Amino acid sequence: MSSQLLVVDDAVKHFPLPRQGLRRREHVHSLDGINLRINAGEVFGLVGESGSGKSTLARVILGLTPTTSGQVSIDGLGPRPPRKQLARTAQLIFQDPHAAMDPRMTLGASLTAVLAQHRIGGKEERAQAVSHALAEVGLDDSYLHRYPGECSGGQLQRVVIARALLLRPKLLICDEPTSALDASVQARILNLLRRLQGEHGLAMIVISHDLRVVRYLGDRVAVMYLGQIVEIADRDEIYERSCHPYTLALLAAGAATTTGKQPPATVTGEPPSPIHPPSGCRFHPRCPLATPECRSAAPELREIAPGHQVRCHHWETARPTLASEESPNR
Amino acid sequence: MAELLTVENLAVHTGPRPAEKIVDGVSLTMGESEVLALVGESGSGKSLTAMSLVRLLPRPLTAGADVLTLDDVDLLRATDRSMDQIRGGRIGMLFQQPKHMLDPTSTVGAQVAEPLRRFRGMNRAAARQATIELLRDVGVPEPERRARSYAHQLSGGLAQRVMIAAALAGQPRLLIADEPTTALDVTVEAQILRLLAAKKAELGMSILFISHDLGVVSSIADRIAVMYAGRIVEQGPAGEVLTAPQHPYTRALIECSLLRPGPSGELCSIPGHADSALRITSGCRFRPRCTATHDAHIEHQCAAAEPALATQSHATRCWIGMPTQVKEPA
Repeated sequence: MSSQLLVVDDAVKHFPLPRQGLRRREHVHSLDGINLRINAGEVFGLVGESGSGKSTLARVILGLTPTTSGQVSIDGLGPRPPRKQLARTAQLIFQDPHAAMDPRMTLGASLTAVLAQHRIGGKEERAQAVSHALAEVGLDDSYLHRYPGECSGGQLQRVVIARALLLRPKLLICDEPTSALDASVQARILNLLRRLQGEHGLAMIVISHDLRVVRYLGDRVAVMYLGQIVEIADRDEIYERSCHPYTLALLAAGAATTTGKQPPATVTGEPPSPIHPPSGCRFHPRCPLATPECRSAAPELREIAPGHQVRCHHWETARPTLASEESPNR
Repeated sequence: MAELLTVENLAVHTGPRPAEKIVDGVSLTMGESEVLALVGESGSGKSLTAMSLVRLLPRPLTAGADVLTLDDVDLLRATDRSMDQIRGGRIGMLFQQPKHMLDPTSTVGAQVAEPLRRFRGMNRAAARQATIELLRDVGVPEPERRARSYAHQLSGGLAQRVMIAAALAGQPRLLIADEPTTALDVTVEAQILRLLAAKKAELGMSILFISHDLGVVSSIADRIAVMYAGRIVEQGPAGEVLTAPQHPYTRALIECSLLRPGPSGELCSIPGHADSALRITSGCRFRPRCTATHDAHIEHQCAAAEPALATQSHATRCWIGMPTQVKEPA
């Protein structure tokens, strides 16, 4: 049994909204009862639409946002570890590399600043570590004196990755790492992440709305909808034997756009507001299989196969009914 | 078949001549009720091409062409006043960020009603009635209530439906859709693509669909034009371009966008960067990044001159006449 690097227990995050007159204060239900276990060296994919709480979960794990209730523990550090200690354990890569770098600092200065913050090494050692980190992501020393504005998105995302790895973290959280990049560049960044993951034995959480990205990188995948995990399983299990109507709809939408067919009309409407999540199953207003039971009773995550959990009353019928028009995954 | 739009030898200059050409030698024709997709990575000139059709290029860019006609109207010689009548009338437009394109200070109903009053001479009451019909028609739930909403009260998908309603209000012959689904979630993206396809068939309008995503394009396009560094490098029927691409760039782009690991377990990518392509003054612009196999004779041609785009239905700017295998990236 490999060691558990990250344990999230029943994490809840509700953001309060400004009070409207004398009415009760309302909350955005970003996370509701998230449980996660991530092992050292494991790549965990997190999929969901905007507003599903993926990025909030990342922020909660990194201690950037305090939880409303529930526990997060990374690498046995306990509930509220000192920030610097946490930074050495877990690092984050954002979607837009131009927004993640200081535009007025050279890339060399930005990277050296990280080591200086943590009082690692002397001047020479820092310079060595920085150029080694750049070399690892495929950039040479000429980048040390460049400014972020002089780099393309793909080059800069490499620098962001190099910076995240400078402190030798055990967990790397990638929040939509390639969504802002062109197709030809996206593939190269994904290849790089995969190579670095193997070389460093990193655990990674890959957050994406793109199922293909998660399929390429992930060992295990969780699908989120309105602040809850609705399905979680090993990668191949999710892609080949998924049982939640929402996961099936995401897969069908993705499959249609790669085969050139019109996407099937399995899901209607848009995700409802996380301020007033629907009663019962949160997916019921959009679900083609919804019954009165779904409106009244919230389904629990239940294990239907080893390591495969689904939050749906009708998981047994979902796959046979909804997957019929799905094109074979090739 | 009568041509709806004819563009011959369109160029976009970065300023007063002599200046760099960032779009060069673009020729397009579109028939009625046809979806032509302009595909390319960022900076390839696809949006500039579309914006020069409606004379909306940002200063100091200037456009010139040999021929630019829509139906019987010569868009090159049209006065600014008549262009005002064409934009929003014969030519409708959709953009990537629908919420940023809607006026935040007036209701969405008023924005859909404006073209009805302006181009179709309706009075206030008739326009209000027609607005609600249009909103219902594009799948906005509770159109009477939604017509009184402001842009910030709508989700991205609803805002794009409103934009579609506003564009259809002018009874366009041509709809320019610039990345209309890029900012939307996958399930909503599928709904919007279905809506556009249905409206095209119902109203017989043509769509110039601009996208970087070949997956999205494959589900809606009749014909595809692939742009690279300001040129169209391949053009043809969608099925042929996607299944039997002739230009090495098209082949690589398709392989990249599938995000499918190759035999080595790595994803396919295109080596090098596109940003240097504009500096290439002689020969094929894709030459530095091309991985197709060349014999010495063709190699010489690639360096000497840029191949012309033939006029046949499926044409490509490549000296290699026959489809060849793309080499594995090093």
